[in-house]
Amino acid sequence: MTDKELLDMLIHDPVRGLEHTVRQYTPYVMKIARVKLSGFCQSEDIEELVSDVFMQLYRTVARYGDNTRSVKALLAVIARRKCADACERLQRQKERISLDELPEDIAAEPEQDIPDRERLIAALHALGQPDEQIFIRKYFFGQKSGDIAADLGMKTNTVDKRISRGLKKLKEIMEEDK
Amino acid sequence: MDKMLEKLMNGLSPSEAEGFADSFGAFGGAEVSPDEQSRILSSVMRKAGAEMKENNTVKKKRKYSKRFFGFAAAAVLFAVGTIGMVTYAYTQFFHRQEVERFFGEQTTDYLESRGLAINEVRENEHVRMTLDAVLSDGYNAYMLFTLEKLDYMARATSTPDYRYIDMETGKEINLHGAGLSLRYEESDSDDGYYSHETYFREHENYSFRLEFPAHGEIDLTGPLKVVFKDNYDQEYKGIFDGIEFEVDMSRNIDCAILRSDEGIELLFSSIGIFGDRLPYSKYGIYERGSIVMLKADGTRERLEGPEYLLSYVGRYGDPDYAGGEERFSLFFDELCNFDDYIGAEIEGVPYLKTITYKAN
Repeated sequence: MTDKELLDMLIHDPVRGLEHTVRQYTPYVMKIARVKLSGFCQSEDIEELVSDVFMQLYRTVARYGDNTRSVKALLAVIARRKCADACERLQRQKERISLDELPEDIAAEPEQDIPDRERLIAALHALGQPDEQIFIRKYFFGQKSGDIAADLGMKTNTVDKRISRGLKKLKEIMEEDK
Repeated sequence: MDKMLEKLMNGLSPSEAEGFADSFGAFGGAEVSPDEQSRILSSVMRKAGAEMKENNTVKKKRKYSKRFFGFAAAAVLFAVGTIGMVTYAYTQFFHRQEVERFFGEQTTDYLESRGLAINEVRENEHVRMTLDAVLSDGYNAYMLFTLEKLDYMARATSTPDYRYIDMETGKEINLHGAGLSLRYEESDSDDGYYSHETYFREHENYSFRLEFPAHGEIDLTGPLKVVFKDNYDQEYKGIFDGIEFEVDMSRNIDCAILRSDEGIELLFSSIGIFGDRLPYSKYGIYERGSIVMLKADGTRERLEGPEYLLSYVGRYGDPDYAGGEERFSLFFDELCNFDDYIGAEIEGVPYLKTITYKAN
């Protein structure tokens, strides 16, 4: 089922839409959660987090459905924030990861926390593939070079070299545009 | 640069993330065992059910359905009278009960009185499937089945997958917007409605409906083969082996062309309203209450929301993708009394009955 079909179904028939989304995207969300939380959380907590990611998706689509285009991208953003929140709370040594205190307004525009935000995004796109993907894997999903290499069928040092060259290229692009 | 990238990713919004769709799409997935998948699905549906109940979004369903859709006793008597008492009743009380659960008592009476109760059974060691009814307006159709689970392997499965086969060519028919609907359960404890019970009911015997919004693009004058298959993620395989039906899809209910002043046409029958383009001003957005059924006696019945009666409404397929076209499908949850209505009004635009095609 395409994302467009899923979104239509989530808006007009939320129960069926949610069920289809969970069936289709559990492996995807699970992979994000495992990359971020393996070693920190038990598998039951990861499952709970994954189910909360889908619930957050359901609420977000209910509020911003007509502005959403990609279920996968939205799930990735929600999952990353949930994982970051879980890590933060673990670090604060709270007794249990509570998943109910997360910001609901996930689709709101992010704070402009860095200058040249749009230019940096454009620069990342300008890297082209597979470098853009390698950067997303490293900086968004937090994958290690070895795992990126394994997924992409490359050698680890090739991934490291591409990251190193990519960082230089990004710096050049950002400076050129100034 | 490292820190800038970290900050960027920390605050990446969904709309920005969509710009990296290819990279996100290529991330792949983890291996998830059937048990994990089942626990996660169960957890999500339980939470969603509780939340929907809390939001009280569908409390009006029962009241609305009965007011708008229940077939009038007079209509049933009329049908019985004109058909000369052709009665193909459901042979087992269980099936009648399941059909009633899906469509309500009066619609079930109507199906029996019109000879539309089918009772065609297929069975293997795991399941018994019965084709209970087929309703076709010649352009679109749906089929009602009852699934009985005969062993623990079947009870561990949820809904089956299915395929439509053109019996002349032997080729599979891919139909955008086709779906499998379960009837949502209403709680006996109060007026509430627990969507998660639908999910749990999947583990028991249940009725379901296959929707076939063909929009006149598939020849429905001859039989069609419906083949049931295992769902890709179910724990046990071979549950639905050999379960297939040859279904007569020819028109057995009346339908009419509805036309607006601007010449936009929709198809209306007891099972729903269908169109080749969205009658909404905004893509994919159904505004609550924007569909009003126009009755012959001059009164108006407002359809209050998709969760009450719409199995699927919207656009399916991608306009950029071959074969993807704008389509509109609105399946009623219960049969509506076709003769009582002269048309529908959508977003203030009336679509009135023109030509009527009678059932064969």
